[in-house]
Amino acid sequence: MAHFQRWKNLRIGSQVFFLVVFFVLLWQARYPLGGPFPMDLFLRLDPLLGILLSIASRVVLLSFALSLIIIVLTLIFGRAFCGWICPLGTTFDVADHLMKSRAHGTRIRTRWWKYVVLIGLMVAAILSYQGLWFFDPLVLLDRTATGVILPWFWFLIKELFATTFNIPVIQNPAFGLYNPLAGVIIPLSQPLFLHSMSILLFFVGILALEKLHRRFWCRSLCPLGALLGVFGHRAPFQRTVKSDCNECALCRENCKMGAIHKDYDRTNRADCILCLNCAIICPQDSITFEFASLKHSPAAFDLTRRRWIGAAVAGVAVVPLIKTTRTTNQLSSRSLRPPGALPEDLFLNRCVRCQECVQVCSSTGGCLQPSLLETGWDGCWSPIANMRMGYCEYQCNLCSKVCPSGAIHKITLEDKQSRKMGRAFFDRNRCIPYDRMEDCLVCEEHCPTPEKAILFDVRETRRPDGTIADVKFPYVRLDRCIGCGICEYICPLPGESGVYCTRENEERWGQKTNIAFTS
Amino acid sequence: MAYPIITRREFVTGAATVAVGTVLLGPNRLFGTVPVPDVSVVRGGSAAAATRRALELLGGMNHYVASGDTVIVKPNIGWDTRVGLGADTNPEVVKEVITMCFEAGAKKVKVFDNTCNEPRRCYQSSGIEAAAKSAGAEVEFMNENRYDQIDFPNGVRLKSWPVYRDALPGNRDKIINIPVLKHHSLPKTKSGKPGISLGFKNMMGIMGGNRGQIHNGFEENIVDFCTVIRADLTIVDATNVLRRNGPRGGRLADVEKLDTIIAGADMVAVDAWGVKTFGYEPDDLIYLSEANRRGLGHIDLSRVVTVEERLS
Repeated sequence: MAHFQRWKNLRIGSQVFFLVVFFVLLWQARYPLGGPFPMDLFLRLDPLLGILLSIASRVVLLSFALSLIIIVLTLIFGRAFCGWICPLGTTFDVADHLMKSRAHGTRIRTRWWKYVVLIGLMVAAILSYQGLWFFDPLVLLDRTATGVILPWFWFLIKELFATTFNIPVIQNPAFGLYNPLAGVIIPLSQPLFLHSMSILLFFVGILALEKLHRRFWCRSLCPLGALLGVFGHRAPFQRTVKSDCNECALCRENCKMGAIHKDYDRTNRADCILCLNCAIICPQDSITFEFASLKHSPAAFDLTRRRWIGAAVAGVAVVPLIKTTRTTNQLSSRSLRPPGALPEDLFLNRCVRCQECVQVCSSTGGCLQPSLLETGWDGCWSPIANMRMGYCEYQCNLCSKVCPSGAIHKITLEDKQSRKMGRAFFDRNRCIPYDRMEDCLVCEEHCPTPEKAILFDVRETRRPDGTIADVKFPYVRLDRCIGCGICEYICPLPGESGVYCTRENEERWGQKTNIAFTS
Repeated sequence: MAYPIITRREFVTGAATVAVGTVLLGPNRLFGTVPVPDVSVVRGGSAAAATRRALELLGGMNHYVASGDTVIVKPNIGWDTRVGLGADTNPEVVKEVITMCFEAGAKKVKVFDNTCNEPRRCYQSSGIEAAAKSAGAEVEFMNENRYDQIDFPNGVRLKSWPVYRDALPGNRDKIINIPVLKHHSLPKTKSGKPGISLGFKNMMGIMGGNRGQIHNGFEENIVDFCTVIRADLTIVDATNVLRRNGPRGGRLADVEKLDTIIAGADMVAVDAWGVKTFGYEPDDLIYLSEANRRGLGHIDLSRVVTVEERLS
């Protein structure tokens, strides 16, 4: 027992370690981007992403080669990843303690659901649709951390300091404490996301399921858990019970995965996550974990033929359902994709909505946002550039560097600086020189192309008050404008900008625009 | 008698002439002691050497910075562009100015600018962060919660605007403005030629709020601003001058090497010299005429005492 208590402490240590590493790596996805480890390390370790994305996009994605480590680990130790490493699993364990939810290890009737999810995703992937963006656990946590947790945390820190900046005596020492951290640890500008509430609601929903019993998501819904269960259901390292078991049922009741068979002897190795709680709780000390000859596993997947077929049919049925939802042209035309993004269908097929690009962008230009329905249900939480909340930095190509799946192609800075995300339009009803007949030119000032894409005509104009004056009227040169959106961002008008960007003229990766321009 | 004879009347007249002359012309010019010109213009040499010489001609930095002063050095760090492209102030100039401040006994030198691109990018690629730190200055990012609303009682158009706290009188002793001379479409000219960005425009870097709104009626707004917040010393960096596609630029083809430093305490006179260096008549810039009219300085260069020098 004491022996396993040590191992359990080690397990908790491992969980905390990987949770911290997860957040540190995510936080590291920021300008100027460095550090020894890729910030998407956890995603690269995810075999579900590697396998299903490769199937859906008909390319072997070598960036996920690291996930072989997890597969090998699982072949030997079963779902140890879920119990020892997975940061979402750790989040559930923490939440369970806070919510005082109970293990209810005998409730096992829903555990086959996760295989239905996995089969459905697999079938959809064969039909070239990836539904991972909705179901992958690491993506889920990545998205929640980027969209909700980190902005919330930084807001709190920044506001606490901001309050002290207006208190006479302590303002200077407080700023002296804050300023060396600003831009180094604390983000210079607060990340703000339009649709973070939708991300939070989804996450809260999954957390609420924990009230039914512990690790509900891992037991019944997680497709990565299902995949690792398939790999690990015959793992040689396993739970064994000595013959002196007095069948007190404590282990089964307290198994957070519901993995212990009602004879208390056999273990469902497709569900056991090696948390070691049973070995510690056993009053007889008869449970141990060791390499053992393969025991018979009780109906590991609980999948009847009818469920198999049902899952496959569901996978086929859902694809057209999602693919036939579309948004209006107007909304999607204002939703610019990051520079280097694949053509739209390929892009959505590859983008897992992990928000790594959004995270890195929030530390510099800050235009990328997780969308909601601007590009359809199909495009939910995919990155779009909102040029009123930020703009695409001319000297930045960080989003293309952090994309784990290649939905944004890795493009050079020179490529990015000439690649059109879209183009700018002047709204001549709102733009100040057209509306008030006064000079403004903030957009022209900021336009970053070496030869300005925003130019102006000087015209003698009769102003509303009857005076005659020379006014500078801005216009766009299509051949130079790359749609970076700094004009839209910086326009001094409140609310709607007097100049805005649309996807017209965009050049996706591998696709050049056919629109001819004359200017 | 070999003595020249002067009558009492001649003596009184002569004495009065000397007295009136002294008052009118200033004692320095009359008696030839330590002439301190209004503006110095140094051409040629390295940027650092020219900057140092320009200050020497003005009587040295300790003419402007006293021992124990807290000094704000305000270069243009507005854009994320490389050194030498003329969008941001030459880091060598900034470094030399900071060094001279410390030589004059400054206690603390702070460097900051409200940038147009992302601040860390601008501070880094302009080379100013590294240069200023190596000279011992504190380089800070401006914080959105540290602006104070300032009133401009004599403002024609601008009545009130948020200004960075550290740059306000009371929180610093001196402010040294180091603009870079470059093309900028905003400042209007009488002739209709493209505008120029100089010291007045560079003062926008300590403003907060929605600065784009300053653009409408820029000429009045910027002069209103400088009726309250004035630089103690302006040093124009005209080493690499962006001729077109300003203020951001990005092409070496648009940059002309003029290797010129202009310095002086009169914001209008220094800008006027900058305009002249760019090739325009000073009163072509409407904001300068406006500043002159409101008594912020002298635009008529024939009446501004200037020392020009060429370094080899």
